[in-house]
Amino acid sequence: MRNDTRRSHGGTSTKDAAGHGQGQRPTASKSRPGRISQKRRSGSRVLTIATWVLGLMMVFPFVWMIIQALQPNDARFAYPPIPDPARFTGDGFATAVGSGEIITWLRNSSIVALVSTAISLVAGAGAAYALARYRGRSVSASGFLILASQMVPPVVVMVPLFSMVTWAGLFDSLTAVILGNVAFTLPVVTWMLSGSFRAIPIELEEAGMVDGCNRLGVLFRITLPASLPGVAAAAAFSFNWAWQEFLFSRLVISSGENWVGGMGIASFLGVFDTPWDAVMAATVIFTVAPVLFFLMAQRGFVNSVGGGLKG
Amino acid sequence: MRTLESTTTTTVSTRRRHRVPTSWLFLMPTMAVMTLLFFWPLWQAASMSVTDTTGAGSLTLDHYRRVLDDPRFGNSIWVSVRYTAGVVAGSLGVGIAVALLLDRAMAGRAVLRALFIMPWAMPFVATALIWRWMLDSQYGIVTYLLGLLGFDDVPNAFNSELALMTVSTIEIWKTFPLAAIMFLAGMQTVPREQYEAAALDGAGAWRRFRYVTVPGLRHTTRVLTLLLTLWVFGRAFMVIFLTTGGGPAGNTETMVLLTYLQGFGQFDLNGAAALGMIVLAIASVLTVIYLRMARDEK
Repeated sequence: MRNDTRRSHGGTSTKDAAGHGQGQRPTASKSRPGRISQKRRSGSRVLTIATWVLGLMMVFPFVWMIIQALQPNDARFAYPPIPDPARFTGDGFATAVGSGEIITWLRNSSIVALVSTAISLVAGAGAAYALARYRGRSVSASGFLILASQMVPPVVVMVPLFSMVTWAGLFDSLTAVILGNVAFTLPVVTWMLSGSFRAIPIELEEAGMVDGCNRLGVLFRITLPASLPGVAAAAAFSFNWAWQEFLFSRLVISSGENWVGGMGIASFLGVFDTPWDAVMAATVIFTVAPVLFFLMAQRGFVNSVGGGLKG
Repeated sequence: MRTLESTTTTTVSTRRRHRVPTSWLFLMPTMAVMTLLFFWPLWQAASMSVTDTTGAGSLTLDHYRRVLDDPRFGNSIWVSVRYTAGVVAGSLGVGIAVALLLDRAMAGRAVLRALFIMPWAMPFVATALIWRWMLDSQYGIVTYLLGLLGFDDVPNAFNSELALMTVSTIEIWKTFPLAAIMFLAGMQTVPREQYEAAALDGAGAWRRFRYVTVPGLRHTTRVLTLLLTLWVFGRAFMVIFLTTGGGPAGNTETMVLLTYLQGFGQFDLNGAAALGMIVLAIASVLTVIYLRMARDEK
């Protein structure tokens, strides 16, 4: 390193003497990181391997879940619990998909998750736009309330919310579940969206206004499309929450035909006398939807969650 | 940011007359829904916690007295403190380690990032189901592997003094991706030149981390600690509910879980409301302390 420094200094002075002062800086800074990365290369490989090992360890529960879904039912209680790939079968998935029960749960979960997400996005986008682009007492008070609501443990609100939906005659309906979800996803979605709206250059909107858009038009034609990754992230968050919510739904849903996926899968917990391959297959199917959604919205998360932090 | 603000004011001032009504139109749907589904229930909870259910609706502190006298309350505070501290520290630690590992140019970086984000996306019920199966004291793969390593008499992960550690570990596994994502986003805001300058000054990897990364992430860490603390203390009881249910003997019964069980296990809704208000008070105190600390540091 030291030798290297001296050499480049020498080089610089000759170049300077030759009157190439302008070219000196880029060459120096270009050679430097090159040297460092060469030195670090062996350590870098170790770190890359470590990253892969850690990453694979973190997804092991997923892998194990899929393996369990592929194992025939009688291999469930085998000891040692090492799976035998030769015996893998799709029977579990066939049973799961064939059972009307599981399909019903997944259908209900889809309805709940999609409607909750739609409501949160539509209502949240407006408020987020106001938070990002307007100033004034009512705006900052709303911003404060939305943020402060995050401090409130949901369980506090759950008790009266339960009484409320029962009073409104919504007990044992998917509407009750949707309302419960929106109560918790709406403030988060609003906050995430306002973070990504702030990142959109206001000049873009001004151009739209010059072209004759009103504020609502600007929001739908310019701001929303421009912050699509952030919208995707907020949608993924909301969908994921509503998809797996279970603590409130188990209170307000009673009849089997209205069960959502979370309730269905939780009903197998601690029960040993069940078709485990089908249960695991159902769980795999139940897991795939939010995971895919998340992976698609990944980039948006980094930007909008991070952007929200900065603002 | 500064340019943005100044442009905003000029834009808005040209349409000054419309400012208040328009912003209200944008805000109204959200605020209406939140008032109906959040603030009104919150007010209801507060009034339920002091309403005398035996008399003619007069005010009373009986519900508070009842839940505070219950030995489960004191226990739940202690469990909550240990659970929150453990999970927040664990998530921050694993999160920053993963963020540092991912913040490098390497083969398959996009795939790796997807791998690390997956636990966050896994539904809680699925998480509980598979972890219970993996850690099963007879048929679990983890139990088996520990046995191979010579740990033969490992106590039941969910039904022994290990229970709190087990549920904390599962919760960390579920939460660290959020911390990693935020740290990763925070790292992008640290100017590259600072690293280059530090490297030129001969700083090694550790010193670059200590004197460039850590100060650069101060804001992220601060916000993240508050978020995670509120989240873990006030919300995260799904894993516990689905694995140990608070047991054995209240070993994993946090305050929020106790509130939920009081309300919907024993159907003491007024007692649950009282407990909920106590939980809310603690969460508020935590926030205020934290904001004070953040302000004093500046």
